[in-house]
Amino acid sequence: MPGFDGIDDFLKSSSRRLKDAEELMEQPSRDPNRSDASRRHLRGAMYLAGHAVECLVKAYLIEQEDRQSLRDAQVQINSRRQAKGQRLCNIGGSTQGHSIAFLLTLTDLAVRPGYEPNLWGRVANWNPYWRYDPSIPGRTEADEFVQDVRSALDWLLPKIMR
Amino acid sequence: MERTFDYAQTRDHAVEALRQRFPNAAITAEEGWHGRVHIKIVSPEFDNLTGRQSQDAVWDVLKERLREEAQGISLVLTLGMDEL
Repeated sequence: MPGFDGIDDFLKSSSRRLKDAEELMEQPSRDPNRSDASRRHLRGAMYLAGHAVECLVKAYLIEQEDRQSLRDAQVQINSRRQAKGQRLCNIGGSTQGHSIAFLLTLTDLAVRPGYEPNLWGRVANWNPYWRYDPSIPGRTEADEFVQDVRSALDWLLPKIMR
Repeated sequence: MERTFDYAQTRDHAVEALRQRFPNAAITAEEGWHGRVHIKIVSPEFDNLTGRQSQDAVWDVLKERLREEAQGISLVLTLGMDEL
């Protein structure tokens, strides 16, 4: 697993990636009068906003498992999965580790009061490959996605702070 | 006390309800926390919808058809063909 593996790393990076995303939603300071100024950073904003969710769900998993790092949380999760005859997971890797939907299957969030499946379904539609996507989304799509991310993070964060 | 669900039964009911409404969709399901159902549905009907519209479309069906059992579904991932 990479070096940034601790609960504090994920908590801080989640907050900072959301702020990065919010910056990119604003009118840019470079070439502010170009015709695409109001939209050209929206894909980047959506990518970073979704990444903030990935980080916070990973922090929650560490908290849920009462561990200090994702590596240790994964050991605990996998011992449970093995006992149930389920396939072992690799949440430090890129496929499962960048899938908000998969990470959610490992959490108990769905049974926490206030969990909104509709909201989390929208947020889980985040795609880590958006960082390669040259298309520019519409303003409404980006606004709604970043708002959803804020709502999800606002609900989730208090469940992690001890 | 945490409510438990019969994963296989809820999954089958959810997939059947969604398949009737979205006949051209590919639908898979996975077990989430304590028997909750996570669904992934890929359909061309989501191609021109926003995330909110897609979620509303599937949850309208699930709530209407499954009623209280829909509480056993904790996530539905909706994808248009243009997102593959």
